[in-house]
Amino acid sequence: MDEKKIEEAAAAAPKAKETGLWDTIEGKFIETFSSPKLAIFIFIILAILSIVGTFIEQNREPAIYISQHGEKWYRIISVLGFTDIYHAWYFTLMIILLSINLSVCFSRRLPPKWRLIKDKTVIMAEDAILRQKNSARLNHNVSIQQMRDAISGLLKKKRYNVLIEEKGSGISIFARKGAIGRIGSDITHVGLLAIFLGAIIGSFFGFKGFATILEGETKHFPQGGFDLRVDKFWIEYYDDYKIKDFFSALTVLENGKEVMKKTIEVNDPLKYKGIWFYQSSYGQAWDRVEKARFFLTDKKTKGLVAEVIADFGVETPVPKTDIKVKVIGFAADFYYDTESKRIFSKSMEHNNPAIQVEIYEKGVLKSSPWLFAKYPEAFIDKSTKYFIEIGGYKAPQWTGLSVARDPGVNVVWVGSTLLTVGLFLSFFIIHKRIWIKIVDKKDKVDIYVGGNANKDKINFDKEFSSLVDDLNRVSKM
Amino acid sequence: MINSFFWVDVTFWLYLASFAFYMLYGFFYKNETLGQLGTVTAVLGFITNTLALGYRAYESGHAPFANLYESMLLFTWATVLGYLFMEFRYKFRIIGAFVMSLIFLSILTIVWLLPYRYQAIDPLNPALQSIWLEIHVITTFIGYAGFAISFGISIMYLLKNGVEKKTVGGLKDFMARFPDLGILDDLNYKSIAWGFPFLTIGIITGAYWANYAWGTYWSWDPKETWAAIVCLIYAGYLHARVTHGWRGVRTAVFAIIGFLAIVFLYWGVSFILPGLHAYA
Repeated sequence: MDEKKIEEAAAAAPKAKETGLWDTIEGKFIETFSSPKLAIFIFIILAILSIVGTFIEQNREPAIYISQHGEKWYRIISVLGFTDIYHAWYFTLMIILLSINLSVCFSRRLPPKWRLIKDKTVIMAEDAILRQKNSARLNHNVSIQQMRDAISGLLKKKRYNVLIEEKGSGISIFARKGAIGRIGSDITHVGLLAIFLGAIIGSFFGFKGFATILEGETKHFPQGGFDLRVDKFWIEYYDDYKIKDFFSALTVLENGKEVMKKTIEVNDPLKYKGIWFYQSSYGQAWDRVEKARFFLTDKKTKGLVAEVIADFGVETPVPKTDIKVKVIGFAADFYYDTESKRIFSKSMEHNNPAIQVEIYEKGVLKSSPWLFAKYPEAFIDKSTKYFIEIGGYKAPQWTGLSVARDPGVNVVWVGSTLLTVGLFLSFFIIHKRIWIKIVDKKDKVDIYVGGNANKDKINFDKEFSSLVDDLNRVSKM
Repeated sequence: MINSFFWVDVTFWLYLASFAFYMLYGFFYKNETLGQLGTVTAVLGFITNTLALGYRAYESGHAPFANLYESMLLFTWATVLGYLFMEFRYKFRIIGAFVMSLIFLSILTIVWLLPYRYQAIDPLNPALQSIWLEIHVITTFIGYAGFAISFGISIMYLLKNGVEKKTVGGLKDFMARFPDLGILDDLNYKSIAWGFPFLTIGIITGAYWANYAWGTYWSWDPKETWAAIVCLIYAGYLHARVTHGWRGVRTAVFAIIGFLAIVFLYWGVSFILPGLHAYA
């Protein structure tokens, strides 16, 4: 029995009882899906689709495709589903076909393999032994018992499982090892199916998201029915000011009660009730500041009069003047929408930070101008004799957390483990079988030795000839 | 001044010498000593390659797998180790001529072709600071090494097969040292039998790490996708070989296509296709 015979056994079975229409359909179905040709065909299709997906950027905005490929090509790409090829119906179909293929192959091949593994037929005819891939015929002047013990000892030393049967004037020996290697590929296939299953579970019952939370703020996560508070966020740097790592000190709250505390960093997430929080990014708030520093200069003398640091929303007296300032607004990337007449930050980046202040003179509100950190002279407030300039500000940090729940992920890891174990079994555990028959010829014995290995035949050749050498040496002992 | 660059230079010359000795031994002189010299210089080169990696790790304070320069040193290291193991076990020194030519090209790339900025020691960015960096990179590169050796053997197979079919007398002598076609085919399979499971572990550990760092084990990043494509190609090879009985030329061609895909996975993706995996 070899791979070929397993193939034949797997292919032959369905033809036996083709009677009704259903049986014919079933037979055709199994014939198609048990074919490794289908597997290779699917591999090729999947590989081609994957390659396409790496050369066309995935899940981008239409504008990007149009600028890269032109409008006509964008329409073609889009109709063909190439903008999200890994989730296109034909990609999913290929995975489904592959899964059916795997399952059918598994169920058709395992039984004959299992019979082969379990096979304990010790007695094999002399000519059948000599027909094995490796074989030899020897004769020696030793007693049959002596020969049997010597052979059994030799094979056991090579870690073979040795079975012996005595019948008439002959002794048959069957030695085997590494049979488990035969089902390595089946374990791999089951592992791959488990990975697909885990991915399906994840896509139906899991979720992925992203949350930006300001330092000190609390955010509710309805998926888990709990709150998450960011107590602190900080960054660590290398000596050359490259970023080494960043951290968020998190507290999980349930009904207002602290239930868990953990400081997460990149490569070290927090897990609570099956939901994982990963440190992913960070930034400064785009719509608020904690405090700001201002410089006041006399418009006439151009001399610096005073410097003041104002907390948000607090009327702060400027020393040496009768002026008070109060910070009332902030936009990190200042934008004035002419239609709605609203002012807001058009991005999360601090591209054009602007602070709105109220200026009081002798307790009277004089004006409430927007001041621009990068363009101090763009707008000069005329209400007082002072020119006010931003000397810096401190916006609260936000931490960017990837949030994910994936109930299928452990199934994926179990599948991955099976897949790997299966590969090692099928590549490195070699099924070796040796049959020996010793025939008593009065004062000498005839010995027939035959064997085969399902893989690594070069080494089995060596092993076999060294076994024959050892047997030849027995008689000289 | 002994530092990692010094050891890389020494390794370069030793690999060059080893390549030259194997070539002379394999094709020009019927002299066993040349082959032995090839082995000795390969072993010495392997030792200095190890030192180069060790010094690099010491200088940078992290595992030396953070950029293309460092990972290429790991590639030559793993491939030479794999080859020496194979030579020790099967005693076909002629394979050294092919594997060492690939190694020589790689180290030439390291020393001359790679832009200087790749040689700079960079601190590890936050995403790479994990024990999984070592596990993921080492397993992946054992995989690459297996496939690289298989590539060399496939070339040998095609050369020998071509010559045997046409039986050109002179060239046949030229390839006198080549093992039999059957043995080459078997050794090719053996190298892939190392490459495939280890690349698979590399992908799985990468997925596990990505899940732990970012919350997704698979995001169809070009590097991930190309690793999957490589796996599909070699899975095709294995199925064709085991269930269809493909041998010889067809499997050799398959293995060559597979290795070209590896080259693209390793270099092409890093330079042409942008993605998360921008280090090496």
